Amino acid sequence: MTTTPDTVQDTGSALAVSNVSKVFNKGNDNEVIALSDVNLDVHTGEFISLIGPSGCGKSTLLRVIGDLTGFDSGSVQVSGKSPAEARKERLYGIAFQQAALFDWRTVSKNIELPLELAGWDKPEREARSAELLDMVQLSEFGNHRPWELSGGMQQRVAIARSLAVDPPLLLMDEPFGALDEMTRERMQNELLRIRLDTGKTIIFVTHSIPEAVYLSDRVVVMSPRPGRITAEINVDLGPRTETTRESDHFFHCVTSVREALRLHDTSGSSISSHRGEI
Amino acid sequence: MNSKLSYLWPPILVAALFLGAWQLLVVIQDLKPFLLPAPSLIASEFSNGAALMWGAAFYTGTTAFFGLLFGTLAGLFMALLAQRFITVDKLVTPLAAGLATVPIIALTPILNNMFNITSRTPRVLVTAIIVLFPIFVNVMRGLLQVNPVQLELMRSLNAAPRTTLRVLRIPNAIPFFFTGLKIAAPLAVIAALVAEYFGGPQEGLGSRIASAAANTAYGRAWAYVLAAIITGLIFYLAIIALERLVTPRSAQIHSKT
Amino acid sequence: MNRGKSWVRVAAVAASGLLFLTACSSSDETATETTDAATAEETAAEEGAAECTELTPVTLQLQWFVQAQFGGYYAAKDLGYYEEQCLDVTILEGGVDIVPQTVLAQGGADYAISWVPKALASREQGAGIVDVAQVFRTSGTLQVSWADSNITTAADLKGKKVGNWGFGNEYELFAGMTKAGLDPANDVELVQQQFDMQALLNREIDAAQAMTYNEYAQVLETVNPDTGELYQPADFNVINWNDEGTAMYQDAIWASEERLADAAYQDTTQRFVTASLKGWIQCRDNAQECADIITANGSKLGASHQLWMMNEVNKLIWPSAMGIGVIEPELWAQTVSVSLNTKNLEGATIITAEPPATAYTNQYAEAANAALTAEGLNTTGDAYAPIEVTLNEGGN
Repeated sequence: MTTTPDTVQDTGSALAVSNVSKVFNKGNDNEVIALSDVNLDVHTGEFISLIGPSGCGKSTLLRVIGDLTGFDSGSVQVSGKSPAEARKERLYGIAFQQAALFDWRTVSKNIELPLELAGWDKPEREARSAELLDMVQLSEFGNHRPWELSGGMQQRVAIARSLAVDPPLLLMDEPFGALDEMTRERMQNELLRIRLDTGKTIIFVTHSIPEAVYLSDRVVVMSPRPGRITAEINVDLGPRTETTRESDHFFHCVTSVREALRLHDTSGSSISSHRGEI
Repeated sequence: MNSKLSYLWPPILVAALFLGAWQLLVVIQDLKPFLLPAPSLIASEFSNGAALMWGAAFYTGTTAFFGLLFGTLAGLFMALLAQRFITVDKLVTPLAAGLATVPIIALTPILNNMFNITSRTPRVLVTAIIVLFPIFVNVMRGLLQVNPVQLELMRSLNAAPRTTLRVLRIPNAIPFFFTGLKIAAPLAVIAALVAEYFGGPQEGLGSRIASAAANTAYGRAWAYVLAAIITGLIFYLAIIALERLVTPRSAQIHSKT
Repeated sequence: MNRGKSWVRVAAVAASGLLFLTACSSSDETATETTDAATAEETAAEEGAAECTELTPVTLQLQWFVQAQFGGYYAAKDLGYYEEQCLDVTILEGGVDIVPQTVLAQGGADYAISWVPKALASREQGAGIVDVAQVFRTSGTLQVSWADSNITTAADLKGKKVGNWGFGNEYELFAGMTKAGLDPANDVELVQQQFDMQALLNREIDAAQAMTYNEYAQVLETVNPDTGELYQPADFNVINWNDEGTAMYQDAIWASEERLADAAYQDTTQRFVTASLKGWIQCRDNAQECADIITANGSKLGASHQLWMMNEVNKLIWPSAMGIGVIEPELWAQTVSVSLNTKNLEGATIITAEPPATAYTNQYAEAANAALTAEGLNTTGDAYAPIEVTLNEGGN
């Protein structure tokens, strides 16, 4: 894959999470503390990964940021606004593990969906959709139906959709989790290229340590029971190249993350405890 | 073309064998028509009375068509309301289920007495009531069984419930709607036919079948039954054609219903 | 084993043998034969009653639900006439979907009550059945209309909404209309009624099909909202197909043709017919008692309606100059002619060929008449007069 230039400079607070807690089924027997006193600051243009075993709260935190679920205490500021305001003002785009495209729409029309909801008129929507298709290199597939595309291609469409209204923030919940290894690596490079072209802040949830390290400026390690942030590891890899994944520095970062995960693994077993590691 | 033929001829072969065995049974056992008419008798009655058959089929078919139309519209409307308002759902679903269990033979005489027996109205109403339930149930399912990830997506895009309904739920429900229609269409023919046993104009298939049977003319009765089967098939095929029109070919192969 | 009576037994056996011989002969019997048969029957009956150790089980399939229309049979059962003839009769009620002559032909019953035209249609389709006693002599089918519609003959039905029950009950009407020069398919609007008179009362149809003994009474049991009193006969016009000349034979006792070749079944048939006709004679002379028997057997009809029905049915049977149950050649011919020539909506006739002479027989009815006359009963009803029946609201 092509080389990428230097990481983008940070210029302001994209996200400020402060002492956030969230409890499911409070007071019942099956009470779960999904998030306990979470603090996180993300600057504009940063690429942050959230990583941790199941139940650590990474997906919950993402959803709290996106106002897709509430929280019980603390504060969340997205570009200086509450999550609800940010959602209403369409300040973020989101991509999930499932592409969740609409089967009854063409690829182009799927990308146009956020634009329709935002009230854009037809010529503008079509122009923007074409532009985005071009960005994810699927220009010839505009009139195809989602099921005619491979998994990786569908995810590219989903990512294009998330960029439709050009939001400053992207939330991504394991978007490459369902893809095979080779496709995954290709998609990771795609994502980095898009990030460079657009300068967006990206919060990326993943199970994969190499993925987290490869993509991010910073890896945020979380652990469960209660869900909390246990470590933040700066990744200082510089521009990614074909050999980045084979470099010692890469391996060193991966090891740091793995150790941070292991340190706070409370499941009891040792070797098999790192669920989610590839 | 080859593949089309290859899946058509097994059922045709089975039907031919079945009819052949039936004919043989009647001939060998010398069964009288009042016990069991032979396929050859039924066929001759059918071809001799072809004009009458189609006239009767057209009459019953028209009743079935209007009943299907009104029942479908009512079912759609009820499903949309019930999806939007939980209270409506709680009220309507048991009611619809209850209506579905009321047999035609109980419903028709009541409606015949409520409305003018000489008009088509009671029969169209009975048909509509019978059709309503499969439409309602399937469309409800289609409106509610939406991929939760897609619902989250709509929330992330700040979509109002009405927008989500228009953009997501309704298109999602279309394959379910056709599933319901495929059940409802032949059902409408049956309902329209059975309702004719209970009074009203006598031009339809149901009246003719009953009249022939009462006169022990079972060959003729079965010929009308054949016409009824064909009518039901026509309705079913019409729905399939409609589905092909509304949803692209490749979507049906892929569809999850 | 009483030695003294042995000669009586021999005579009885001989007489029974003679009876069988006469039963096997063809329909037309001479007077002497009849007398012989009657004497033999009488003796045999006396001995039969004494000798009857085991009742012969017999099933009778009715054409409709228990009601006074079948009064004679229930009377024969409850008053012991069947038992007298050494028969244990089970009466099966009919219903909308039950075709009594088919039940008979398929062996589900020993005898069936059915209207002649439908039975002839079944015969043509292969059902082996024989009319062994024509109980009802005239047809009870009416076409009833409001007096202000001025429909007094079949010709007046032109352009009107004419109700009928369908299910093959419409032929007398069609024949009547055809005879009056109307084309049933085009000159009238035909509507199938439910088995009630609501469509006429609601004026949704102009003329409704009704039986003198049942549905006609239903309108007379309804309160006229304008007067607060029950509707009167003067409020209606009726068309009677007997008057129009297109009436057909109705209730008759049918037996299995195949089994009639068997001597035991012939004997049973004779006994059954005799006892049944005796029941009908009883109902002629004691209409109220018979109506009560019907009610006691489970009929849900109201008391005045039941009595009305009994009375009207009697009018269809009596007087019967040739004796109850005997088929009159001209009336049979009329029935056959209408069945052969009247087309329904689909252009179909009831039958397509003349039924053979073996479709009916008078031997059982005539023998029964002789036996009952010998008992001292009147089998022609020449002195019969109907009673006055007052209907109450709802038939109660």
